[in-house]
Amino acid sequence: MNAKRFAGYALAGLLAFSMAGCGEKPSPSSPAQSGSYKDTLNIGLDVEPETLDPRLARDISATRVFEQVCDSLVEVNEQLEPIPCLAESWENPDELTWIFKLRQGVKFHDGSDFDAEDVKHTFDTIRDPEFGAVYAANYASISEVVVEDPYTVKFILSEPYAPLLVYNMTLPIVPAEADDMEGFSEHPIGTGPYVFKEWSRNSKLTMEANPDYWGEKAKTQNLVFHIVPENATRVAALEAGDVDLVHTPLTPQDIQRLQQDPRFVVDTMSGLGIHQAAFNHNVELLKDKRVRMALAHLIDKETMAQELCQGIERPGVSVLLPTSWAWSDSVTGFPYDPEKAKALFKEAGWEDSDGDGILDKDGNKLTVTIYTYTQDDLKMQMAEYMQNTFTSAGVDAQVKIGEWPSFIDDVSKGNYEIAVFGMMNMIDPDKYLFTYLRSTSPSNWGGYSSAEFDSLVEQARKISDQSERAKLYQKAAQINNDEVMHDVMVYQGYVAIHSAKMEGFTPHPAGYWRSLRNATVQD
Amino acid sequence: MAKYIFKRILQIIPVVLGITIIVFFLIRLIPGDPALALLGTDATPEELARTRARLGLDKSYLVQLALYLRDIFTLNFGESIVQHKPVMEIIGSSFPATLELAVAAIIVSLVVAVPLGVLSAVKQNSWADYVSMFFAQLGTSMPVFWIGLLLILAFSLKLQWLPSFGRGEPLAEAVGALFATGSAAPLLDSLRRLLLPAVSLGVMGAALISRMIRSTMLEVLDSDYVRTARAKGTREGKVVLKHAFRNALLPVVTTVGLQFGSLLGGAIVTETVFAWPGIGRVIVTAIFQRDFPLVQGGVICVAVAFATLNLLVDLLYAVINPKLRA
Repeated sequence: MNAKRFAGYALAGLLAFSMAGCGEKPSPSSPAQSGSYKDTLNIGLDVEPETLDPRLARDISATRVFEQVCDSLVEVNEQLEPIPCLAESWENPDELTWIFKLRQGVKFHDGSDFDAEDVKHTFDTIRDPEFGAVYAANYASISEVVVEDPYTVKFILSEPYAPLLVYNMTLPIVPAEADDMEGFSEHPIGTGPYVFKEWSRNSKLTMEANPDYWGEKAKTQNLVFHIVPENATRVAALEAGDVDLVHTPLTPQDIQRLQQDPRFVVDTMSGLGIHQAAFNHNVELLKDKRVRMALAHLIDKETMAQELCQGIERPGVSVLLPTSWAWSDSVTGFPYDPEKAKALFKEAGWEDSDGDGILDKDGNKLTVTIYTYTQDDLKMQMAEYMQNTFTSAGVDAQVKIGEWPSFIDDVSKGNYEIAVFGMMNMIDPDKYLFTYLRSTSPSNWGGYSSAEFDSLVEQARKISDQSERAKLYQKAAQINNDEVMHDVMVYQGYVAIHSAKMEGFTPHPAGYWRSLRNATVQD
Repeated sequence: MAKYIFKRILQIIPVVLGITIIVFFLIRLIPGDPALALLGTDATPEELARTRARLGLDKSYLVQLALYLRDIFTLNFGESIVQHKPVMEIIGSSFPATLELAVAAIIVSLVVAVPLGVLSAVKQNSWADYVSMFFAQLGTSMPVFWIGLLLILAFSLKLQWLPSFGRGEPLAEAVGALFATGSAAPLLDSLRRLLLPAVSLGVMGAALISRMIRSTMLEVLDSDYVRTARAKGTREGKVVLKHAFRNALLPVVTTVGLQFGSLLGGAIVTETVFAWPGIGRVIVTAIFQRDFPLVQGGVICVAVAFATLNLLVDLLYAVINPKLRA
């Protein structure tokens, strides 16, 4: 065989091999969709869920998967308002009692009926220290769950807790028999629009439409979540048509490129998280409020949002999110202002007395370390950019980068000066202000302390009137800025990119994917 | 021979034990608290303490080590802190994927490297030699991450010939399906998905192995017995393949063995780029989560595989070189 003929055979073989599978017959379409729609939605997920037991889960990936399989008493809509789901209605006769009327005729995927016992079991187990739920402490305000009748359940609280609906009642309900089922955390059973089929670890999770779903049935028969950790591969898979939907984290360059491509729809919206510079108030240098404020004025938030994040995220102003009902324009932050920073440093006694370009005081150089972690490229870029603007203002700034467990171990022990990290899922301001910034909170690692701030956030979680709560949070946010407790640098955006052939998908600021049940993709 | 194999198997035990102890302490000495990594930043000190006690991390290191060694002697590698599953089950589902990829990558390496290496030695200082070695140099210089992305861009995105990521049915199961049902579709799908990651990993190995073959072949081709064979009038093809190549194989087998061993534990980059569900990704994720039992179990598994591979390489030496059989 001569070389040319061999090359010809080889190429033909490769083509035949590469085309194998392309001509497979399509599997039957869903009952709800037929004809020109695909029978499978392929989703590119960045991180694999750790467990699919909603009570043990702690990551948004798990939420994205089990929210297709399970329902909760209450859902949070795109406007972040609680709406009925398995609970048809609820009442709050006094500040310590919540009564939920449950939907009747709902069945779990194994055919058993959903009732109040399932709700009680779900909430009793997540609060049980022996069960080992990661977020058990978030349910601490619930003291008892009482079954009034099969379709009425009463929650008795130990103290008033305003975010109860949006944080606690969104817990997916599992069957009362869940803990007797072998491998429930690998193969969850719920009442949701999709029935879980298989989890192939490190590879994919598959589910199919629930024909007996109590609500509007899923429009596409099969749903497959593919675990694709590498951002570049996830985007390439979308472009190659191997997946129909991908989401952040994605590089700003990829997002901008696909925004120009008519084959894709890029949904960009404000997320529910922040990137922050957390000051350690126990460090001698940072005990001086003027120094903290000067450093905050040296963080160029506008450039970070426009250049590092390519306009996808917004410059930060306060600990309240612009999308929140608690937001107010009256709370002012720290715009980039090197002149003001210089004046504040001078007022605090820091000047370049020896002309070496570094500010000093009593013979000591103004040195500060910015600490962040490897798992987030954007935060590393932010830390480096901070170093740049700090240095040009005469601050000897160093960047320290650790991997996440080392970083959080150090930060939680107070071994840091300025830590750059994020907060997510801030549906209610209580999450950040009460849990992290209150002086007695175990997660207040930087030692911020303001009696007035504490009083405001403690009061705000106990009243139900949202406009009253908003006023309290706005006051607390202003105190946070006046005292420079933390500096919010950028509000996180959320981006989902899908094929232009996909219809019915609505992005959610929290990154939830409940609308996948309405999604279809043209063939 | 049997005695030799038995002796070599016995030698694996202290190696694995040593690695177990080193990994046990290393993972505990790096900063990072598994309870904090598990519970996250919202956890209270009470919850953290309770979790440490539940995981047995409140005991002294020596007590923890003694308990762990006791358990692994009964082949109980514990349960993953994060996944709440037996470690052996997780490894059992991910190691075959890595093995499959490593074998495919080595096949790609050899298919490319052997002809290139032999050709460039036989045609030393010719254009064929320069071109082969240029590609060998290129292969060793290009980062595997970059090769992977280029392959995806070319074959998945532009040409749309091959899938961009993921693994099909395990090859063994796909072959089983072929015999059981007569359907070749699962096998073809598995092979199509295997091709890009195997090529991206194999290119680097090919570069290394072809350079090794070239240099050892050059040495052998210059030796007395090759000159004698040629003087006897043996055909050049036979001289090259039987007399020279076989004798040049020993160092090549060592390189291939080492390359294969490193692929078993170190294909993490390729596994990540192609979303290949192998053990490299499992171990690295476990390190980031401070999932001690899974890190320990994963490393022990890779160590045992590496030691077994070394044994096989040594046995292969004996097959290739009769002098070593004594």
